[in-house]
Amino acid sequence: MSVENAPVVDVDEAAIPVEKKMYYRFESNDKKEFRVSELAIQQSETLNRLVEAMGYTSEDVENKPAIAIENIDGKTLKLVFQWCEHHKGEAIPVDDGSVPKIVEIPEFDAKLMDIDNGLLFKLIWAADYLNIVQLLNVSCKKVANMAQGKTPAQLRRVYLLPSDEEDEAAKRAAQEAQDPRAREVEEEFEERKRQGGNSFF
Amino acid sequence: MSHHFRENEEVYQGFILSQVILETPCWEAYKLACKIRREDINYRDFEFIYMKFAAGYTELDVEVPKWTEQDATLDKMPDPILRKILNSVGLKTRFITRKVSKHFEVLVDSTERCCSYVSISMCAPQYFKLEIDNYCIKYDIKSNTVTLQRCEKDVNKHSIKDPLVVFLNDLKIVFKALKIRTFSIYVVNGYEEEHIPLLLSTLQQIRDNTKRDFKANALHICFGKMAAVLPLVKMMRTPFLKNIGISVQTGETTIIPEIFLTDQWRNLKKFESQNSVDPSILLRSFAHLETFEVTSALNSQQALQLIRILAASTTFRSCMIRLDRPDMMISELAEALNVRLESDETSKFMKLDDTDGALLISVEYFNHIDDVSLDIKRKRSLG
Repeated sequence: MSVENAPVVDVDEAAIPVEKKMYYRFESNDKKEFRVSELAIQQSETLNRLVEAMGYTSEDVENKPAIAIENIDGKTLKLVFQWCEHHKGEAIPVDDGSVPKIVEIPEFDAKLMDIDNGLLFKLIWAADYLNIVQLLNVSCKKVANMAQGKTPAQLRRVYLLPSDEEDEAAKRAAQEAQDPRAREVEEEFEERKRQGGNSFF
Repeated sequence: MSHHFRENEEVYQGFILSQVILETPCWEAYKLACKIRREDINYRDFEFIYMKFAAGYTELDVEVPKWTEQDATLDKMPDPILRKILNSVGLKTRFITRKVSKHFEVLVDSTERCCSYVSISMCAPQYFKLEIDNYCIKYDIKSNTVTLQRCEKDVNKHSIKDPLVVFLNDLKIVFKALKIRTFSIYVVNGYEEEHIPLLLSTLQQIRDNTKRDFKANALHICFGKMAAVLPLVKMMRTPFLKNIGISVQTGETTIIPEIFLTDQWRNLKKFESQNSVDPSILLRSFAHLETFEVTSALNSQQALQLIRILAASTTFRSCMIRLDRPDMMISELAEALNVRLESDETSKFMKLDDTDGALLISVEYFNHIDDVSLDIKRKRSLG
């Protein structure tokens, strides 16, 4: 499913039973607003605690500004809330680490995560930040599945991972950027070594 | 084609669109594109165009946004997330990921992997074998090859110089962060003088390097020599080990008293040994276990005493004791217990009622009168 064509996460009025459901409004860091059901929010431990602490009534939700989620952009948040709405009411898995965990990716999740790596990693960040256990499980599993059958070089290419040499070069560059004198000192040292000096000091 | 493909962006994007329509997976389409263009294409750029088409866009004018430091990448992920991902990868991928960079090597080595079953077999002069869940790595000594099998199908096979060296080196890599439900070690008779010390020193090295005991719920050891059992038992993390099974070919009886003296014993729930256990130790220390299966030279008075102890135990559930010297007759025991002796086609049995619950005691004769086992089970529902 494309991100662009994905249904907007909003209240489905027809689906509301006689009893009125509670919804909350959230805003991404690029000012996109979402309406999410109370039941869907329960999938996120972070958001659940947040709304509980706020104690909003239905009127508050409409009258007060949307709850800002400053670390997550609209595109990612849309995926997160789509996932939460689809899985609302489902039990949240508990990982006690005692048994090898087998994570199956449901069809809906697989389609939702048919996205580029950049967005997939943002989704993982968001699931971790918002503490959505099962979304984190399936998104990590998706990355793990993508790694299957690839060589170390291919993994570096797919996941834009630096090799040890690149890592070292990047660290050196960062160090030099922090301390421009470091490079000069290093060059001076090399020069003295060439001239036969035993010690820099 | 390759010239246009390389120079003409529309032709290139047209190719990607065609692959999306043909439902070629992104990675396969990318490899094909690299092959046709005869160059390494940036995967991120390719993937961006592919995903744009997969999302329904059909114009061949996709503009790939420039790379920025804010873009999310795998190496920017916090280590707990990377560990979670590594926990989800298969065993083979786990060790391939280790070769990506030093950072990943450290990560993989420090990421605990839960396994249901791990087995080390040293069966010289034929082979050494390492089994982890569905995977089996076999180091063939005669052909000097190593074969990786998954679900009994060959995945990979290549030549090696020295199977023993490669096997021990692989152990050092594999065993760095495993959490094992059942850990089995088999060393067949004939080469144990040479191989057991090597295996022990390798495991000791791993333990020293990681500064951690091995985590195994159940440890099953099948050795030619009893002396090597204790060092292995001591390498296991104490509260974690709940079940020990020992099968050794020599008749030494000293090892079980030695295991009693370790901290492991207090946490054990299950103990199995084909080797003889001194009746006094059986009476003194086995009642706290949930279940055990041992050989012992109990006489009828000792058996009676053991039954009384087990009946009073709050943890005991079941045991089977093969009798070394079955000088105890079932009728004699039944009489001493003052219980009714019953029988069916295969065994004679009796029921012992106790205030905390009931014990079902049966005596089974196997091949002849000297091959007797005493089975005791807690049957709380017995009336």
